[in-house]
Amino acid sequence: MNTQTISVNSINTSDILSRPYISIAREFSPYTGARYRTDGPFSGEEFRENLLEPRFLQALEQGQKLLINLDGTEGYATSFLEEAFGGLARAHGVQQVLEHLEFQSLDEPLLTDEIEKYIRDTARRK
Amino acid sequence: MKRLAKIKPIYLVAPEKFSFIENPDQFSEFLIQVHEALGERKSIEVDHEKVTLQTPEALTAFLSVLADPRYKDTLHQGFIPKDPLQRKMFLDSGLCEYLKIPNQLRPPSPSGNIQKRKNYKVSPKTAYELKQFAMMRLYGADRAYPPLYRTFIELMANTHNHAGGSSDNKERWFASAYCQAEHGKTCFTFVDNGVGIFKSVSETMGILRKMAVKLGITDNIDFLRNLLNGKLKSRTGMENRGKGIPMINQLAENRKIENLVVITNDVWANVSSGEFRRLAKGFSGTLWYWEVKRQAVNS
Repeated sequence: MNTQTISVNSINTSDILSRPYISIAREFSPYTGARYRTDGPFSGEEFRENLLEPRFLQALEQGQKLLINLDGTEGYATSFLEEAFGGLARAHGVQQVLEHLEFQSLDEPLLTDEIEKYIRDTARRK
Repeated sequence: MKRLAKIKPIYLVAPEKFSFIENPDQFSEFLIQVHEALGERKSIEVDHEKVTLQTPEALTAFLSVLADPRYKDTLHQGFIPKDPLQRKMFLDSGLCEYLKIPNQLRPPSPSGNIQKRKNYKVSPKTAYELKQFAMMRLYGADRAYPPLYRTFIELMANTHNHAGGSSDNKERWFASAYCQAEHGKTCFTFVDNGVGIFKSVSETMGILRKMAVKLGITDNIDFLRNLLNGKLKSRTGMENRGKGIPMINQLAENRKIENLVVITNDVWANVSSGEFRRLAKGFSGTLWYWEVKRQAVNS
């Protein structure tokens, strides 16, 4: 599989203005939760449904990549990441998701690899 | 409560080594006695006078039983440790909120070294507050430490989703942070009085148990080892679930959290040191203990 999500080291203001962008800490919460809404607040499901999926669809329409800034939160549980990004891949396909997402994580650079694994793992479950 | 005050309490003696980590068999037997006594007579008197050693996870586990909603209409009295150091730690732990002291000794103002929280759900705010408490105590200022925040969220989610077993009831978790600034560390405990990991797996994740049996894993110690290292999950094909416990294990392997201990059902495991053993009396719940050291946050 050639498609890869790309992590970027810096984000220009022009990037944020000109393309679909999410800062999880600023637009969702710096205190992310677990998998489902029923688990408690700021879940991966809530993030995917309210923010990630609408912006992802916007990126698809514009033929662009959605840039997601992971920095500034207290941290991420595996269930949050899996439900948000794995959940997106279950709904829209692994390839399409990989082709249209891009991440920035200066606080925890390995998070990008972890998320990519969750996205790819959804294909292995078929 | 007045009616309860007339009932002669069941007298229990706390183990001298009041520690789930260092004295697991006696301590688990003590907890069983507390559960049975509260279930039977609704009134207990616990004698801590001879206690010579206490550890934070034991105090939190005991507190979680006294505060358990199942025992809300019960009466608890106690005698506090005679040893001055143990007495201070006992009073500081907040146990006196749930344990009436007959000798009129007023608990001192909290030293601020211990924080306690409880809930049924995943509470990101609580995870943040406990992390913030540890950082403030260790550094005098808040700072980010994702491994700690992450550990709390994973454990809260596990309790919320699994600790009740096949029952629809949600179990309450109890968490504490005990700062030992002089040792440059904070000790964390996360405990619930649910059904325990192995019973929960049997009741709610039959496929995992069946797969384990197929792989020849019938022993709970082996089961826990495989659960921690993620092998069991990957062999079941449940790729999108059950990543939380392996992640915590990985944080311990990378020494982002240290001295990780798991106690559940009939297994006591110091995951960090690799020592796994069987509990003689068992523990009907799950307790996680770990430490965060100043140097880990710096690295």
